[in-house]
Amino acid sequence: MNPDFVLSLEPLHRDACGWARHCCEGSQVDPSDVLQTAYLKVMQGKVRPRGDGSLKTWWFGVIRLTAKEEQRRRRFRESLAGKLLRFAPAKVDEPRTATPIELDESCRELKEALTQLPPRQSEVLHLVFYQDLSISEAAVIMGVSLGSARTHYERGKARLRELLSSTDHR
Amino acid sequence: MNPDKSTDNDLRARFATLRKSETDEAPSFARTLAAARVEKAPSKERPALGWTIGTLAAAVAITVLIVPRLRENRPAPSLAEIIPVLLPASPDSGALFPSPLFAEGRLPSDSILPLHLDFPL
Repeated sequence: MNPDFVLSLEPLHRDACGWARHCCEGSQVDPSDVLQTAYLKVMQGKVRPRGDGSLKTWWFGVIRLTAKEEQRRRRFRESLAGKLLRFAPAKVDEPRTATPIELDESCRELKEALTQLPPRQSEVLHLVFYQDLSISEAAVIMGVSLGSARTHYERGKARLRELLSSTDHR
Repeated sequence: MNPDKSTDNDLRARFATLRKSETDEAPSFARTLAAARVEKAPSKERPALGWTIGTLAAAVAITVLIVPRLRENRPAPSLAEIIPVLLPASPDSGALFPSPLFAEGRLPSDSILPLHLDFPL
């Protein structure tokens, strides 16, 4: 356990919640589960920053990968092999679904439009506009090159505007 | 590289509203950490599924590797042991071929041999 280090993540907690929520968008995985698993990884020393980037980019990368692991685990549990393995006596924690948040019309439209974008475009837009990160920081978190992130950003922005304007004209 | 903030004010405003709505509802850091310690920490009572699968895989691997080797190392049985006895010999039967010619070291067909050799050319 590394309690001192995990406390250094407290200032990023609210942003991390938003990012975990985005990473779980469209899946049945609960963002709280993802965040708890990510914190546990830190406490158990399974993940630690390498020191070649900001704490936020590293932490967001951990959350992103943890969300993907949880989604894979969830898909496996729902698959035939996963159902067969449930004959084993191990107690498996049933994943919870995300608690919905009351959002106004504008926010709902934005979230709906984001779900219609390809995942990479949606991710880079969230990181830049919601988390106020630069495109290069978003590229580090997403594990893609800067050029690729920039392309996703430009295409995503154009597509998001199209989607939002079409909903505005309805 | 930072994106041009002046041209994207519409999107920024929308995202800011969404951010505010979501962060207001976010669970506190202490609560999340406590839940991580309690709910996510592996229980000692719970047998790890990974160990079960690993043990099964190891058992299968050992069976696959060792059984063929055991078969290779086993000595081949002699034919006398594995061929079944069809006509068991009785103790009074004596020799297998009781002809007196055998006793002299001749075969019953030896008498034909001179005829064959005397064939006129």
